[in-house]
Amino acid sequence: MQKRFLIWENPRDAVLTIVLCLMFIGCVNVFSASFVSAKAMFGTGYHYLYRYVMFAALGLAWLVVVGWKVNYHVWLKYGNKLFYLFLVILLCVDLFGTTTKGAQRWLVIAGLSFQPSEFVKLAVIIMGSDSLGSLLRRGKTPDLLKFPVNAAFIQAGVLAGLVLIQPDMGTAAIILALMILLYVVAGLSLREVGALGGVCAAAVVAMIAMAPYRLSRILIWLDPWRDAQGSGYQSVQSFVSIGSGGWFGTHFGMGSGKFFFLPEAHTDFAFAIFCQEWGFFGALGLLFLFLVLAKAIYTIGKNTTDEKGFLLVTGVNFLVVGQAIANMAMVCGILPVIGVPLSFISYGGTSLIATLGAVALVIAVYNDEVKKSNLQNTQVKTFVPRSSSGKHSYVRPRGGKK
Amino acid sequence: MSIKEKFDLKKSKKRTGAVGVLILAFVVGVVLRLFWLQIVKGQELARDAKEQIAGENTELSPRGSILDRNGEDLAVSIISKSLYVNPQAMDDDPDRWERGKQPQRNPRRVAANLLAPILGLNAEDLFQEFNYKDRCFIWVKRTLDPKVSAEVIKVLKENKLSGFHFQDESKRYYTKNDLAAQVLGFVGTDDKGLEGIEASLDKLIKGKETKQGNFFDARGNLIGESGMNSVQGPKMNSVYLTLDSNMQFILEKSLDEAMAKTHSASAAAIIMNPHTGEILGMASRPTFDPNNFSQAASNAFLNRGVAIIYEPGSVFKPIIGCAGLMEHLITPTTHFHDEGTLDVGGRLIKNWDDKGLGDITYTDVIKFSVNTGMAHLGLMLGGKKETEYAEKFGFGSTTGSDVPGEEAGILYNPEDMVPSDVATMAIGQGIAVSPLQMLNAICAIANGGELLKPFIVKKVVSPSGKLIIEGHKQVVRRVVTEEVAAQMRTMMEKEVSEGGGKTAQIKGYKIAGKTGTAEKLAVGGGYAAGVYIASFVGFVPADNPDYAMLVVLDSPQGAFYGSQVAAPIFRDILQQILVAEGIQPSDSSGLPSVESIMVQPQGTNDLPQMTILDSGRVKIPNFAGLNMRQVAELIQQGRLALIPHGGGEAFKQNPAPGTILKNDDTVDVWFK
Repeated sequence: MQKRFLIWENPRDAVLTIVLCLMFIGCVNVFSASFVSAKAMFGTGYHYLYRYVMFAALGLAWLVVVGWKVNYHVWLKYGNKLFYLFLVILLCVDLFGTTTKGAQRWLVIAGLSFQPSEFVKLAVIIMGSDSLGSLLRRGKTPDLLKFPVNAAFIQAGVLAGLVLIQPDMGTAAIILALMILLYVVAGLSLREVGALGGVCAAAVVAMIAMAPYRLSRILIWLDPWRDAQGSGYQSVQSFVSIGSGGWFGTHFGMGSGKFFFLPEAHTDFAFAIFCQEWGFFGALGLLFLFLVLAKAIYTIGKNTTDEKGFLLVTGVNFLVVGQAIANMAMVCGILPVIGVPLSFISYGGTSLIATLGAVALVIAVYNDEVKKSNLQNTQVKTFVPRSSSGKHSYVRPRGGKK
Repeated sequence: MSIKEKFDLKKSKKRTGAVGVLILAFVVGVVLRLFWLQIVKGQELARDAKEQIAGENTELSPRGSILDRNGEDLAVSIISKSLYVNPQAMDDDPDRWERGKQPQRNPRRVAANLLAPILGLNAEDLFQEFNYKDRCFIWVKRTLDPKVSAEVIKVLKENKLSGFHFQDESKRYYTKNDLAAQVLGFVGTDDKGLEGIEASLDKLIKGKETKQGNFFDARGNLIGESGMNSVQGPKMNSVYLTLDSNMQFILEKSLDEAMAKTHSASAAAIIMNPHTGEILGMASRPTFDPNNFSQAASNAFLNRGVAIIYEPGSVFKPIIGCAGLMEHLITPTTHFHDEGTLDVGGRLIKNWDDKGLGDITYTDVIKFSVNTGMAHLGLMLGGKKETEYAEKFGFGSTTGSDVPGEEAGILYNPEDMVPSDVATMAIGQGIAVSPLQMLNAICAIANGGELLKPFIVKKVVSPSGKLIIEGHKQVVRRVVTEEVAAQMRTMMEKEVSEGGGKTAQIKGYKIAGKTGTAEKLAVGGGYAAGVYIASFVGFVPADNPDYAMLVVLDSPQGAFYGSQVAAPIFRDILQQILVAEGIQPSDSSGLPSVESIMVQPQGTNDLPQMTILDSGRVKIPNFAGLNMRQVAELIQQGRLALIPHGGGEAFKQNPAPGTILKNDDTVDVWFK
């Protein structure tokens, strides 16, 4: 279990180091991308930097508690209850939430505002891991069309629907995609995977047929310059920012995009500012960090003997890295513009805390696994329930340090 | 659905790997796309990025200042902000608030209520303007004072009101309000000089706009500077006038009093340096404040020192007298028998009192302004010589000065003159002159016989200190010999010391002068019955004058003789100027000299003091027993204005001792 990962003692240290690195880059980039608009809005250019640091501190404290102090099975146990909790919360948002930029996404409690949909992403992973993990443990195959094995999917669908009417298509898509990916990993038949792809394509065609403006959305996605001052503006500005970075970028603080040219410069489009100021090599470096993070998390998952733990780690990998790559793809125009944040780099308090909470679960799974193998080493029986089939044996720990 | 094969954790991990590979494909896509955007299209997009931040900003150079001869500001321009609003952009922008903190409000109502008191406008009117949603540009108020605009900026920022913008505009301030208003003129809102020096030197001092390449954010604000800061361009040329604002102040104040006292329709007064032609002071009534020129009556804009012509009357007599002396027709002692009236070709020339003085000299003719004597001299000269000398003295054409708006005046065509014209011209009738023309001609007598070109622009200096225009003494021609000029000065001095101009006397000073009273020309021709123009021209000290001055009152009510109304004003003005400028009396008998005050320093401790109160107001002491110089010093300490009457020791004052006055209030003090 505690095998080396690249330059690190173990994959957990790798995850922690990279997350801290990404958060540092995030801090710097959020400041550079936001000081102009923050100065205009709040009178101080440091507004978003301060808040980023504040949320990061909160998130890291949360990470320590969840990663080291609480057994992750506690969260899984509440999987079903989490659904009802977020059902109520999202209904509250839809009914009493605060509207910003035409979307009702925020709950303000005691002066602090939260975006519950960010936590829903995490909740969906926990719900899916719990129900699909127990299927996997029993050797049953999940199915999107059969009740009760599709219960988790339906629950995710309901939550995604409530997010969609805020409206927040990006988050809704992520919620649903995370659940579907968990289904796929948990053994959804390839036929159904194929059918799902077909249904999605058909849905897209049907939606375009129903409302022709969606076709122009697609055309704008393919060629934003056809309406560079209108609906293509954000994409064009994103490309201009990215492109002007060249090989090495304009260097810290010198990019022009943040001067109100690029909307959402410090949030969803932070990657464009990063590309402008750090260039192609900077962007490659950032991508590389995310890939190493993905590999480290994957390694932890691979070494996990618990089905639910494994799905949890995999779901978090999709959430943290998959979402990041989706964001980059969106910013540089491979995917249409839907609101997906870039983990650690985009500014967003709730998102940062949720993402660090997700990383914490990975660490909790790792720590639990280490504890288990140590217990086995000392010939003490583990309390962790395991597959009744017992078809495979535990991976023997090698070179335990203790 | 049958389960063909059992799915377990191992397979699940394999699938995860497969999904990972799919995601990796996206990563490759992102890398390729970044390569395309940053490397292949990089330069093109970098150019786009540069183009969209590049722009031009306009730097405003404020209009050049106008200053007096000592460098005191008379007119200055500063860049001020004009506030405009785009009513369509006034809706609250949620981005300006933290989530959940955006207030429920009507921003138009809030803006109207907050801005109205600051701008001094009606809140309802503003609210109505803010609701013109079909318009995107409305001036709220132009050229705000810096204090006001700073407050507006603060209020807009604190309350997060959108849609308001500032435009830098140059605003003209006349620092001394109506001081020399007609000389300075004024500037329209488009920075175009409309009257006076502002108009005549418009090209030299007009503010400039210089465009400069710069970087702007998407909202149009300069990058690197707060858009609220205005960028000032290079300064413009400055105009220094020959005016002395202290003398001008005395002129203005005295004309105000003269207007109040005589209820004249209008008035003009000019002071010149007779040796250089510099115009030291030039005031005109009615007047206006160029800071609010739009509220003034348009007749107030007229610079009556140059822009009106009038029949000079007896003030013209020294000119004809000089002609007589030059042509050796008379000497100061030539005898003339005055019978009180003189019949010239059927027209009866009468003295002012119809009385004859009998056997007199030509000195007496000037001294007592004897019409018959002058008419007689005129007839001896003939119309041709009269006109020749009048033209030599600069009448009938403009003086060529740089004072804008000068009139040329009217002379007879000598060919058309009948004897009565010749006779009346000698007493200053039937011709029309401008005040500046008249004073300039007298200056030629005062300075020893040279006609100078008067000037009011001392210099125009570029920001780098280069002289663009420099006014200097310009001799037009020699008009009379030194000797004749000296003779005439003596005759004119006698007029003040012994003759009709006694009311212009100032104890201790030798003053030369000439009174004048002429019937006013009616608009339709002929004379307006009972309407007079009273004037007094003179210079001091009589033998080597420092100052020459002319006072003209148009249509005084009640007393109308030049000696009754114009000469006392002349005296009051001159008295203050002599004190202010420290001109020593030529005869100090009966007057404490400057030295005598200075050798008694302990005496100053006993001097009554001006009490300057915290409010900036002053309490005046009892001036009784002080000489004029001491009074003037005290008055200056209190920043008050002294109106002296008579000369010697103060014995009476108004307001009474202990009265509390504010700056620029006047104090009348009588001396004996």
